[in-house]
Amino acid sequence: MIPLERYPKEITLRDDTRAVLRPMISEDADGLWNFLRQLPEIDKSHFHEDVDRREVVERWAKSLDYEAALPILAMQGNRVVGSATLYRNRTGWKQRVGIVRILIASDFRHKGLGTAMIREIRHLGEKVALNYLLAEVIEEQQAAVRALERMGFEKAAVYRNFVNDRQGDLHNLVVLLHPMSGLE
Amino acid sequence: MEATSIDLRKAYRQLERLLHEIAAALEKEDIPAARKDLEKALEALYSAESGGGGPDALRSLDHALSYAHRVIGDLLHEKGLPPHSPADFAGWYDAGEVPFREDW
Repeated sequence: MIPLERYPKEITLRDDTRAVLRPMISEDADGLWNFLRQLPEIDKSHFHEDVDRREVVERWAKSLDYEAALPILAMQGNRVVGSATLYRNRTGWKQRVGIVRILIASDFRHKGLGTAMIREIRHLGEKVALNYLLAEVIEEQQAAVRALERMGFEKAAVYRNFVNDRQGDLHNLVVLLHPMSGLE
Repeated sequence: MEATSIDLRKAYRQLERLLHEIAAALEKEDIPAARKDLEKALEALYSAESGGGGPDALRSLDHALSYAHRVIGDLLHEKGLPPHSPADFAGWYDAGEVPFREDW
């Protein structure tokens, strides 16, 4: 069972604005929908489903399973300003590898929120005894790549022209790995 | 400007003190990743001492400082405080660009 007693957790960003981190709950469907709608197209490329369809977001909110995917939301009041999700496999050869996806609202970038979200997911990964965290980022998202590297992620591979955005244009995919403290 | 062996010695002692202070603060916190980073910082610091000066020692001190910054960031995050922003201390740096800037 993933430990969640640290939530809600209040953090202060670089410009002294505050945000509350907490796991997503089913009542967050509206907030998540509004958050996803304002994201730049490139940030929505990795989703397996069309997040421009409200019913997709509503279904996610209704079918939350923290053991498989734990979304931590950054809230300012009732507004979702960031999300970080830790995906895990319960069985199989990748059960000790957690996949990280982080999204930050455009007007909340460059305030340290992305880094705070990385710290949060890393903490959760430690608590569920993962061996590695894995993050996949489009190479153009350099601020995210730098933030992940500063937090101990290492570039494991760059796949050239490997993924396409929603317009069909190809992009390089950077794969980053973070070895967890229990590994050594 | 080149760092003299006295400069390196001074930097070593200052960093050693900083890391001990960080270790004391970390004692009360449950942040496994930060403990690992502190170990790496101390490892880099001791490698600077055994390196006998020169560019390698300077590089090791730089690594130790980078790991220390990460641990400080973890401690601030755990307490809900704003992230450390080295740009606020730009006047103290004798460098063109302030390192450790968090962009995201």
